[in-house]
Amino acid sequence: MNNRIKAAFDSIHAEEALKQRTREFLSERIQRTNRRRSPVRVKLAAACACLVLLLAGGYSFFAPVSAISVDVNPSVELGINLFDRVVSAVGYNEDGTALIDSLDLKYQDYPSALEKLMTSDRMSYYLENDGLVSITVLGPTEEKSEKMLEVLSVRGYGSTPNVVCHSGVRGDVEAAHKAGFSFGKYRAFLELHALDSTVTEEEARRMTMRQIRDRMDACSSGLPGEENAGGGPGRHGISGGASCCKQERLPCP
Amino acid sequence: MRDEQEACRAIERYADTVKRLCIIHLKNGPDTEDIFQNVFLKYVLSSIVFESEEHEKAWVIRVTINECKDLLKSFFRSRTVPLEEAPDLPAQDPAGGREVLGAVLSLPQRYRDVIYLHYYEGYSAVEIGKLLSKNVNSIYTLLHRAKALLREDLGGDELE
Repeated sequence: MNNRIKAAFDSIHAEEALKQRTREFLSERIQRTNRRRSPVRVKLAAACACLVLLLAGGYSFFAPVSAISVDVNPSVELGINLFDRVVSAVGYNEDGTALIDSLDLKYQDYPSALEKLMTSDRMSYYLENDGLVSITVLGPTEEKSEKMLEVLSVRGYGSTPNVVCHSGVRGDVEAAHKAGFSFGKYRAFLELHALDSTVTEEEARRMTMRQIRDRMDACSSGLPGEENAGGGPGRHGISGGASCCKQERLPCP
Repeated sequence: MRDEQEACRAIERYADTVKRLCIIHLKNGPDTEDIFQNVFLKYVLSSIVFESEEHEKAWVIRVTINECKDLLKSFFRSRTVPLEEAPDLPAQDPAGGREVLGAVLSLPQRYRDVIYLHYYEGYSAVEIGKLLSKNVNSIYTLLHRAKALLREDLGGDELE
């Protein structure tokens, strides 16, 4: 009986056609799975590409490519990214730091951030008291700087006598920061220094934009600085009666 | 995942075993093909590392029995046919294979696996217990009763 059972089962074999169909089925499934499964290298490359894109995206978002320097007595600089969003705000003097601390400008588009800054209580105080606001823009290219100035012009900045807009000089930025100026104020300092070489960086740092402007006007017209300087919050902070003359000129009387 | 070459080797090696287990459980051609595809697909997709050929064979047997049981659970009798209609049985052979096979297949389901595994595959009761996840004593009981039924059906006393 033992052998008969063995013999009976021995007579059962899988048909060749069944085996062939199973082989074809498995072959198709294996190939389909392999097609669907990308090799590890491809996956790794895709992951790296994603990471690079993510880092590049993060970098391009957080890296400032343009800047706006707003100087009255507070002196602040807004760093602007590729997408025209404010990604950094730095105060370059005590008033500037206090102004920045009182506002949340980060990640707003720069026209909105600038509007918020200009309409803030602290800024309004200077504007209402004859302060001179200097807005200096610096783009990655001259075209971008021009475009930024256009945007400011459309928004009405520069149309009032106590708000002036300029385009900055890229080469001055490093020197300005090194000297503790925003690049907008440093630009004004350089202009004044060209008229009156006796003005020091230390003096200019303590001057308001109105005082710098008045001093430049005085030097240009040959009058002593103090005579042109008026009152108000923008007219204090300079001590001594330094003469204001162009370097090439003879000393003022 | 195993490659095509390994799949072909497994089919070559275990096709008959799977077929015999299918005959024991299903007695139906189209279902056998389903089981074939499922068992060997599981083999291909499995990441298990077999320690030996015996280990691999035991895995195939276990998976085939489970697949058959699952299929029976889902379709139960609706897709099974009487033994006489089963197309896969071998033709009458001189040693009376069909008669013996018919006797084995007419046993209650619980006896068929143990008879096949013991008399054909040569597994001991202990090994069958492990393979079917059953108590060894239950296997001894099943074997004893199955032998008695076969003896009754086929006559003779050589079933040892």
